Amino acid sequence: MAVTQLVGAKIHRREDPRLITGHGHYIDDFTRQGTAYASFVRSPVAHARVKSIDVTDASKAPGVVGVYTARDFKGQLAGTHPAAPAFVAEKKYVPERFPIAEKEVTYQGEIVAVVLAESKGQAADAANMIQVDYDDLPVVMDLEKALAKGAPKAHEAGPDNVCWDFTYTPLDLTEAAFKEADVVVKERVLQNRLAPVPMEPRGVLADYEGFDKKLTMWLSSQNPHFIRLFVSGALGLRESQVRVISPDVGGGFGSKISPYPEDYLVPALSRMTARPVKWIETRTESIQNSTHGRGQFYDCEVAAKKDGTLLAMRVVQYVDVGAYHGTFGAFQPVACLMAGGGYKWKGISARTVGVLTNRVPTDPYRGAGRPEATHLVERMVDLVALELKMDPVDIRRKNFIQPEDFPFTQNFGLVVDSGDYDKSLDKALELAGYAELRKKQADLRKQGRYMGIGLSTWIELCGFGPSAATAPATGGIALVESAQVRVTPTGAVIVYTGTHSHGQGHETTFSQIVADQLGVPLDSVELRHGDTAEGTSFGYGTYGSRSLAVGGVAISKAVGKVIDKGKKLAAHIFEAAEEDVVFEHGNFHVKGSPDKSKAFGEVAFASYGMGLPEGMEQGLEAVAYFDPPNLVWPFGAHVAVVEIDAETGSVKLEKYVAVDDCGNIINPMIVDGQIHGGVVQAIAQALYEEVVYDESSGQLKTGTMIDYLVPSAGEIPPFILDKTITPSPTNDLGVKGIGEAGTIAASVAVINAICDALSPLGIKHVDMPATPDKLWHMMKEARK
Amino acid sequence: MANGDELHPIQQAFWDEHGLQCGYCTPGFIMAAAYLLEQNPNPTEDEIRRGLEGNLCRCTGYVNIVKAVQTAARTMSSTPARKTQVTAGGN
Repeated sequence: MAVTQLVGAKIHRREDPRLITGHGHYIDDFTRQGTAYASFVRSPVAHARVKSIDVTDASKAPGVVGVYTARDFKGQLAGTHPAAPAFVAEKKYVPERFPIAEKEVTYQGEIVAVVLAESKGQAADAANMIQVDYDDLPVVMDLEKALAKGAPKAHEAGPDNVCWDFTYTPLDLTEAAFKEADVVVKERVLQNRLAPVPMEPRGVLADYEGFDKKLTMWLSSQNPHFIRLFVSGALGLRESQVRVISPDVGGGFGSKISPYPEDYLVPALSRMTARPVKWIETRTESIQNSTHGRGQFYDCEVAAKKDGTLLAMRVVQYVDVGAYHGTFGAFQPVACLMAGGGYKWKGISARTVGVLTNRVPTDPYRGAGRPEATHLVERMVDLVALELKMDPVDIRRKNFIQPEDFPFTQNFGLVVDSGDYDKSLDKALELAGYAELRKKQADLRKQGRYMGIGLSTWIELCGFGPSAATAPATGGIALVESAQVRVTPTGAVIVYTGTHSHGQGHETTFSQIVADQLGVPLDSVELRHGDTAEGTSFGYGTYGSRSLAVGGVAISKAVGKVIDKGKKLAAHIFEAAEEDVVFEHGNFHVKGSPDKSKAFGEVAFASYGMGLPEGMEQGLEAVAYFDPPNLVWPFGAHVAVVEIDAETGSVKLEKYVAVDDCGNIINPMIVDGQIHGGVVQAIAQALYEEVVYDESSGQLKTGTMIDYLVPSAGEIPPFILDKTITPSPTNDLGVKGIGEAGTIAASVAVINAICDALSPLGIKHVDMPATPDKLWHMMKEARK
Repeated sequence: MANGDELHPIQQAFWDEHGLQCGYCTPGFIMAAAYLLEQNPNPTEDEIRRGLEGNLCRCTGYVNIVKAVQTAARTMSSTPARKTQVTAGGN
């Protein structure tokens, strides 16, 4: 792309004027005349047989339209909840899932009945009157116990609790490397279960119009076209009969990718009652029922030479699948494929085991699998360094994939497109003042103070993705991206994309790309997304840091087609050869005679007129799909500095430096914002957040925001951010993704800093979240 | 708070400093910031962070929200007319 005005500039976001004045439109801002409100009755127990449901009192309650249980939906909804293969080609046992439980409940919060009423309050009141008789069954919570022979089962009818057990690369692959090792370090690394907690909870408004047999759904989704696909299938409708509108989305972080039970039940209710039906999730419902992230542990061994050369890794990932297979839950094993990080290894043996439990299903949460991989490898590398008494910087430098190695085929056959890992590390160390920090640490240690410095030299694969990789992962549909660019007679440009922003600012960044390419003002470009009735026939949604690297490139391709047609037409107008026509700065002209020129708008107008070249149709619009040849590979280096209070175990984050490389940048302000938010979510995982269930009863103990600690402004330190720019060779824009980078990088920087701080006590490893209570106990034990 | 097309300095500062992403928490933060600046027109960074602790944001990591409030404080202290607008609750 040519050197331009808008791309790369800090452009104010176009979506902000409505959002800062209270004019955003989120799901609860929509209603329809005659709407009935749904309230769901959810199982208060984690595992039980449903003996009976008494709806007598609830049916008679004021304002109640109807009370419905599983049997009522039997003729309405077909099939089971979709479970994509993702990165696990073979599954052992995927429990059938109907959106509403009939005979058995398998996690606290599973839906057993639903009330429709004239108001939200009446629906909630009546839902409380429903009497459900449960016959308790043993709960499955601990992953290791769940895998033991004769263990209780998360589903009574299941063969056992193994959802999958898949070996990517066998153990013997690394045998030779382990034999030549001078040192082997071994650790179990936990990934705490997290609740995504988008500020806007989920919600659905569905209006089925019986005469037209058409369903319109408004829902808060990152992925409207896939929701249309799944919902139309379940309701026995054609995709053309369903329109899904996802308006402004108040955050998602992965929790609004997959379909949910309510996404089927609410439209079914609308069809059953011939009324619009609305449901908005409560905060507790959100924490209890939105898919969770992480919830894993890793058994890992690393073999190394005494000079710090890394040889081989053996890793077994255990994933808490939850009670059902999340639609994209088997994406998380991508952690195995990324376990080698930015280093060279002779071999990596990797296996993933998915375990069914009586908890809410897990599914992708910001970073999905890649934060886990970074956390694992960066932790293990530090443990090797500690064992060898090496500086964590030196061991990293010794093993990095080098700039001249790219494109680099890593141990699982993935091709890392580009990178310069020393460069970002150099910059991060300089900004942090690493040498001085080590001196300060030595001084503080003499005073008995616990200061630590933690590194994370992270890499990421994102931009899903190439059809060869993604079609098998979804079970058929390649996660490419589509775009349509329409130019009206007066030169207004309307761009449709199949991605959908939930805070990333696509209306701004995508318009920057288009305006530059066409040489028109930003204001003449309009971006539309989130409505399946507009644009191309299918869109692929926003997740996996794919929107720019796949969707943005598709837009750029479609604009290219528009320009090509414009050139043909301009050549005809100029009576010149097409190859002599140049398009620059928004004008078509003949090579060598810039005064003979037509503005883009003039050519657009002409395209709707008469006297077009032979065979050319009227209009100026184009559709493009982009099937990327590879994934894209951002990277960076983060440094965290902490001090731990010796008396209380509380962690003070003193400094946080992040140097990231996401290739070419469209809008640096938005990139920084993504990093800020991502880093804070990872710091929160490292220090504060964990979904906790009672191990004996399966009761959720962190169902409110008092118990589940999402950080506030007071908890978070200021950041120092910087960048390196290594353009991606994978696409014409040279871009990578940045939506998940902060979350992928940061948890281990903090934990490595904590481990470094506590190393004088002989503490080598700390699991997340590193709460004051946990650290206080560890320090007390260590001092004994 | 906006006066027709003219944004309130706090709104303007949220726009200038990229103090929002998904925007869902933004009206709440803007009102919290208005109250904070009414009580304390020149807050320190620490006072801003404490003053906003009652609101949650999941997108921004608070970095640019804090910056926005600092920017708004500077603008408002140099244009006293806008100060009263907050006290009056705006339009």
